[in-house]
Amino acid sequence: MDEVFQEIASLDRLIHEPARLAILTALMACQSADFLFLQRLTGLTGGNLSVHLSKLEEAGLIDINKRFIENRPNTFVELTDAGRETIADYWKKLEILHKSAEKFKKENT
Amino acid sequence: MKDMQKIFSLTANYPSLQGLKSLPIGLYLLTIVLWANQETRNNNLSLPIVISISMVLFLWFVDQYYRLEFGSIRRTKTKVRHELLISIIAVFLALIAFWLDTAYEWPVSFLGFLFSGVMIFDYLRLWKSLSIGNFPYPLIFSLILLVVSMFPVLGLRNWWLIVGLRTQLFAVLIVVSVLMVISGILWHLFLIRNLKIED
Repeated sequence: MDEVFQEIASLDRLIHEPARLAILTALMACQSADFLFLQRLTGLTGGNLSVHLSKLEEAGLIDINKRFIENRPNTFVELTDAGRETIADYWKKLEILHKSAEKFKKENT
Repeated sequence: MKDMQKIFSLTANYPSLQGLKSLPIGLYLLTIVLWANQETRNNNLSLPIVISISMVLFLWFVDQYYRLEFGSIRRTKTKVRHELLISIIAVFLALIAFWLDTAYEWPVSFLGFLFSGVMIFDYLRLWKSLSIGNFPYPLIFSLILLVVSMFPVLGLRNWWLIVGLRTQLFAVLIVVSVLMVISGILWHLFLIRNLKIED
C-alpha cells in the first residue's frame, strides 16, 4: 500500500481541486471551449471561474484567447500540450489508485 | 459539481445534445412531405423554396441561441472525422433505403427502419456516458417507428390512405418528422437540466 500512498501524495494539488479538475476534464474532451460553456458546465460564478482559469494559465496548462465574434467579446480556452499531458497522466494515476484500492479491499475482506 | 465522467461526456457530445436543431429539420421534412402529398401543387416550387429559406434561417437562429445562452466548443479533429464518417454512412444508407422504398412495393418501410436504427444508435452512444437511464424516450420513439414501418405486415394495409397520404413513404416520413421534433425538444430539456447555473 505504500506505493498507493506515494501516488496519492504525488497527485498535483493544482489540478486535484474539483473546479479546476472539472475545467481540465472538459477541455480534454474538446479542442477548445468558451467561457460561457465552462461556466454553465461547472456551475461556477464568472469570478470564480476567472480565478481558476488564471491559476491554470499561470501553471502553463491552458491557453486563454480573447477574440471578437460578431462584435461580441469571446474568451476561448484550450489545453496546452503540457496541460493535455498532465490531465491524461492525472487520470491514469487515479485509475491505478482505483485498481489498487479495489485490490486492497478484496485482500482485506 | 457534476461527476467528471458526466462533465467529459457533456462536453464531448454538446453539439449532439443541442436538440432544438432538430426542430427546423423536422418541420422542414413535415411541410415538404405535406406539400408533395398535395394533388394540385402543379410543380410550383415557390413554396418549397420559401420553406427551405425559412429552415436555414431557423437553423441559424437556433445556433445563435445555443452559442449565446450555453456557450460553444470546438470539437477535436478526431471527433469531427468520426462524425463525418458516420454522416456519410448514414446518408449512403438513407439513399439505398429511399431507393428500395420507391422502386419496389414492400410491406415494410426501409427508411423507417433506418431512422429507427439511427435513434437507437444515437441513444446507445450517449446512454452509458451520460447516465440517461431515466431518459427512455429515444428508445420508445425508435420502437414506435419500427412498428409504424411494419404496419402493412401487421395487417394495416394501405394505412396511409386512411390518414390522407398518398404513399407509405410520405406517411413514414411524417411520423419521422414529428418524432424528430418531439425528440429534439426532449434532448433540449435534458441539456437545460444539465447545463443550468447551480447555486
